[in-house]
Amino acid sequence: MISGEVSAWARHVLVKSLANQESGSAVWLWNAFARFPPLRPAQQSLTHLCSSRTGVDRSQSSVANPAVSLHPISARPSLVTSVGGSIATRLALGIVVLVALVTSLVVAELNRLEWQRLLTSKRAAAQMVAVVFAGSLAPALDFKDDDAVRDRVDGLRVSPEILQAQVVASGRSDPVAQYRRPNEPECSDADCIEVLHPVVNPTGDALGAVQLRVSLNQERQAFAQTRRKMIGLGAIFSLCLASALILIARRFLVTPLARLETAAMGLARGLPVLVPVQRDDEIGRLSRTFNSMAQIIDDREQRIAASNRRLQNLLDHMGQAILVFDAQGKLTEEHSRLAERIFGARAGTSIVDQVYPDLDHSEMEREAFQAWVDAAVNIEPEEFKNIVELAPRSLKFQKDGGELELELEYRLVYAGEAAQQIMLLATDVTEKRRLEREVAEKELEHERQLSAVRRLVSGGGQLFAGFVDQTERRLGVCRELLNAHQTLDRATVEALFQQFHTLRAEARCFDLARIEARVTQLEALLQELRTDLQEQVAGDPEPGGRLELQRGVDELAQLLEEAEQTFVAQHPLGAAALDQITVRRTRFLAVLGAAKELPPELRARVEELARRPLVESTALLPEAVARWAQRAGKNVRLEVDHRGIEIPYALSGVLGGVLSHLLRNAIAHGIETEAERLAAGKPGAGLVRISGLESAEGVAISVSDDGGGFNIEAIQARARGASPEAILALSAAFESGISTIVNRGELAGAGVGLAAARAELASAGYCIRIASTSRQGTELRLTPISGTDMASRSRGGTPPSEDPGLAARKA
Amino acid sequence: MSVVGKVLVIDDSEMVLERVKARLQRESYEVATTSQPVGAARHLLLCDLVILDFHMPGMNGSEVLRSLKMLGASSGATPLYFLYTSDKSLSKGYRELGFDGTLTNKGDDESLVQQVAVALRLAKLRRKTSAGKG
Repeated sequence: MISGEVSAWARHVLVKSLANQESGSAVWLWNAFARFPPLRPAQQSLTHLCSSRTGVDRSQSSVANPAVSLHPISARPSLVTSVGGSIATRLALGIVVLVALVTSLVVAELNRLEWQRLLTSKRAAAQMVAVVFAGSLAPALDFKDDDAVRDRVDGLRVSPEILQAQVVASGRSDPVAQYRRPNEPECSDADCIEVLHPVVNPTGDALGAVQLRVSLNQERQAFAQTRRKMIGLGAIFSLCLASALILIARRFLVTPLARLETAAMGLARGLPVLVPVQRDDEIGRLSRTFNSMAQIIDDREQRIAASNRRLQNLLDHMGQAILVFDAQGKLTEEHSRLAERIFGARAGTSIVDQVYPDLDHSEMEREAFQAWVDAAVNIEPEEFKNIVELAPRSLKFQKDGGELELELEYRLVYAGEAAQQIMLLATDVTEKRRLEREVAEKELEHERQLSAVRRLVSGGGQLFAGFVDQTERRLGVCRELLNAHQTLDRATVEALFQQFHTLRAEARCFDLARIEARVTQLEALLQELRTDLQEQVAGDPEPGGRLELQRGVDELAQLLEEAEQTFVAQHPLGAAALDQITVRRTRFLAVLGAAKELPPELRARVEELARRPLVESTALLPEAVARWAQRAGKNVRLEVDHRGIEIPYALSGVLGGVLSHLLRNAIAHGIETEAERLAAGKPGAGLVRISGLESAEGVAISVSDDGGGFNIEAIQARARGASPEAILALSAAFESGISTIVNRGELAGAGVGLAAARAELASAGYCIRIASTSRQGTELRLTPISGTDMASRSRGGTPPSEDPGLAARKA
Repeated sequence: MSVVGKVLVIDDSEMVLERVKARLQRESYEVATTSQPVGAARHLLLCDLVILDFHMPGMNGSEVLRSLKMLGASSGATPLYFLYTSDKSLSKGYRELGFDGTLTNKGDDESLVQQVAVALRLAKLRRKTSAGKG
């Protein structure tokens, strides 16, 4: 019953305390209840109430530990009532102590004064009694009537306050009479008052003296009663005064301060708070200042939050997973969204655990990375670039059942001048690496195919050409079979199988892996069809089989065409290689020699058979030109047009050497250096072009370049007996011993190269002309020797009979 | 990027030595090989990493390791000693055998290159750390 009432009262107090966020009362109640077993139910009720009000479940920890059970409340302490350390408590205690002290002093002083007053009154009364008593004794002592004296002394017995009385006579040593109240102990000075008065006769002679001791019991009793009243009044006064002072302090000081405290705590939690300003005193001004400060802080917080959001947004949109770890190797809060997605990026976890979470497969990597982290976080910033070389730069990270390939970079993060953190940037290169591997594999495959084709080329193209023809025929047969049979029967499947099987074997001979692989797929399909037919499956054994086979045939045709194109591109003869056959040279030369005896028409046919493609004479020149140009410190490239044009057999025998002479001469004399070309507004790389030309007179070869042209003045100056006409001067350039180059070098300068070329050409019935020359380039043309050429050569001093080419042509 | 380093490989198989040497040299490492542990001491002072076979005729890897460590300590050499094996039980117990680490998947050259890169990083870090403390 008592417990129930107390519980109700405690509940009321507690609810009020919680409403005011005051934990002191609650703590006090809790502790009080805990000390008294009958109040335990109230204590439990209190615990439950605290839980429900604060939203904290203390069923596990708080009830078991009463000392901390209300701690979450005191987590928001109030200045008004929190226990210990608060201004309110100190102020209240101070007021109580001060008031009690002052009241005690006042009451003590009042008591002292009251006691003095009582003593003074008592002493006056006792003195008066002594005077009267001495006057009554005067006759008896004057007549020395001791009995009368004794009678008078005995008469004092009626007064209970007179404890002792003694009468002495002058000239006598012993007292005449004395009285002492029976059963009274010897009183001390504090318990009684002693009065001494002389006894004189009417003439003024001293007869003796009277001594009285009067009790203070009545005064003490009266004083004790008075003192109790005063103490009680003083206590009541103290209580009232202290209460009044506490209330005043609470209203005007503590409560506003508590409000400020609550607001400050709210501010600390990032809540927008304002304190009501009700007065214009110091507290009011403090509240206003606080509100201003809170507003400023709120503005600043908003700006910082906006700035943080912008930075985080930037971070999240970076293509790298960004992690930051501190000097302890622990992750900080800063990370990009990608880092969260890949690593999880939980702040406070070890960077090593994040990067190498798989203990089984990366023990050494973990150990090395841990060693690196330990070294890197303790190193001077200027040493970081050295240590970063020892960090892992790539990582294979298992994620969601797949493997990510990451490239890792590291940056120091400075705080002021000191480096405090390290940023790890992980770039996901999984797709990039996959593509690189694919490209490498394709390049490898392509290179393998090229190698295979080169082998074919070196061995002669007619085998490959035969394969192409044969395969086209096979594919044609396959198409006919597939078109003719809407439903594949056993015979068709077998026929197709035979075609594909042979095709696969032939493709393998030419290292045509893609064709071989596709045919293998089709063979597998045919095998399934064959099995179905053997098991007598009703209807079309494979409804999609025919279409798949048709698709396969089309793809094979496409692959065959690609292989043919690759072959043509790689073969020096180009497409002409597909139209060639190989015959024995000796037998053919025998036929060619015998052709002289044949009629002109047949001889022309035989000579036509002997013609060779231009590319045979130019196949090795592109690489040679690049090499010669490099030696000359120039940048030159060679292009050959109409590579398939057929040139006379005699010319094909000398053309390679002649072109070498001309090209070396063009590199040495014609093509400028890169700097000179750029200064002249030309491309940095010079171009030399060889072209085959068909004309009525026969095949001509053009050799042109985009160099600086012939130096005609120099040729004229150096040509022996040079004619003033430019044409003759240019022709003289091909005479032996004339060179326009000043410094003779490896490539040209002796002046014999072009003359030798001229002689070589003449032996094949060809001569060389300068078709055009200017500062933008030169074109030389190799043409069959005509009658005009012979006349010119006669004027130049070279006997026509000495020209072997002409002789050959005549022959 | 490979960390340039000097590696000593000790194995009784000349074929393994040649293969490992060729592959590591392609990664620009300086590689010394020997099938005779007795003569390996002269390489110790200069190398960062020693790769040891465990099962060798006449002596096992532990004995070779012990003698090499003694020689290394006397000459001031501080390479890391790694066991090279495809034996998983040996790989797991390398620390008990006294090795600093283990290179697994013996015979897989690509795996070897990756593991050697990690081991060399570790060797250089340990050397740097010990130099810092010194």
